Amino acid sequence: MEAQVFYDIHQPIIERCRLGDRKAQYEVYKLYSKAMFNVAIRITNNYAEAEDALQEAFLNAFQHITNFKGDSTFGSWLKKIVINQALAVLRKRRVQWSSIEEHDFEETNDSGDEEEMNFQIDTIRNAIQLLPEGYRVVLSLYLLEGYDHQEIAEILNISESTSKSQYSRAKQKLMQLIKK
Amino acid sequence: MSKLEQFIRNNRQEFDTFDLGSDLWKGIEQKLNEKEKKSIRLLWFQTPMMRYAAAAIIVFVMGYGVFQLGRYSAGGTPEGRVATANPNVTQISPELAQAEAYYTSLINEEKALLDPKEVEALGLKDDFNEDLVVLDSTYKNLKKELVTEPNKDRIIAAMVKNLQLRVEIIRQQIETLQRVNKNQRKEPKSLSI
Repeated sequence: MEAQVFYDIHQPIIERCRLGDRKAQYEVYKLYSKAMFNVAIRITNNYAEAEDALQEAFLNAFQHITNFKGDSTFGSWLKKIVINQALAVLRKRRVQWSSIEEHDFEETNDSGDEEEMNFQIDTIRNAIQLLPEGYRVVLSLYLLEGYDHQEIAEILNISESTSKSQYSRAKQKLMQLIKK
Repeated sequence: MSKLEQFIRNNRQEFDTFDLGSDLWKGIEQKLNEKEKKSIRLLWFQTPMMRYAAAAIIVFVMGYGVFQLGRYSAGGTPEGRVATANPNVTQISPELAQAEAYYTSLINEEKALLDPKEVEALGLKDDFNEDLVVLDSTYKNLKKELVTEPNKDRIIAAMVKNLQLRVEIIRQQIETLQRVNKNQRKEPKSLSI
């Protein structure tokens, strides 16, 4: 129900955007740009690339707003576009998603240590940025953007099991980085 | 779910710490304007180009006809003075009759392109219909005047102008609707994933 309320609040602005109303489009930009920029930067890990992706995403969204049918919140529809734009940037850099063997860290069971740790948001965020590209993206999509493995598989065009294994390795690597 | 996962999810908002260094809106707005201009220009060339050319020729022929008619009237040739008990446009000016037929079919053709539901949805229906109704009644009055008025050139010119105006109004209407709807036809690639 919460999502429904959220959706209704912005409905009038979205409707005006459908008619190409510049002021309404600017309102939408102001409402969403910061959150969407953070989504983009978690994927690209690069300030300038995130800005490019964000600009393209807003343009794309405004021009194809008729594709927004209201079956999700506008925010999650927009977020999908932002993610796809950011991924397009990454693909230009040719990120390899799957190959499990390529990372040489040791697999350990961290859960024991985890209990004693005091987490700091800044530490975690910095550690996420230090993750290898493929790990960072899967972990961000799962933990921060709230997609499940099936959705991530679709977004990244990989199998669900790859998403799961990639995530579990990403999490272990993240723990190592946090402990440093 | 591990403690780390729990912690991150519980503090989800705190992770949006990056601020945009520059305002991207100017760039977005500029590109939106550019693309809109482009697509309007494209529509302009795509659809009625041939019809504009045809209209231009008709208007030219009409102008010449009117010019000739004026000369005949002044010179007192029989055709110029035809005024039967029941005169019609064809007798007074065959060119005008042609133009009338041409514009009427053009108007109907253009009207067929308009979806009345869409016009209504945009709240334009009333203005739009009102304009056309006013033009229509003006036209009828002009037609009556044409029989009695000695200076037929002026009336004929006004009648042609009237017909052209209607076509223009309908075209503007179509353009507005096309601008609003243009995105429905295109599926963005980025949404296909």
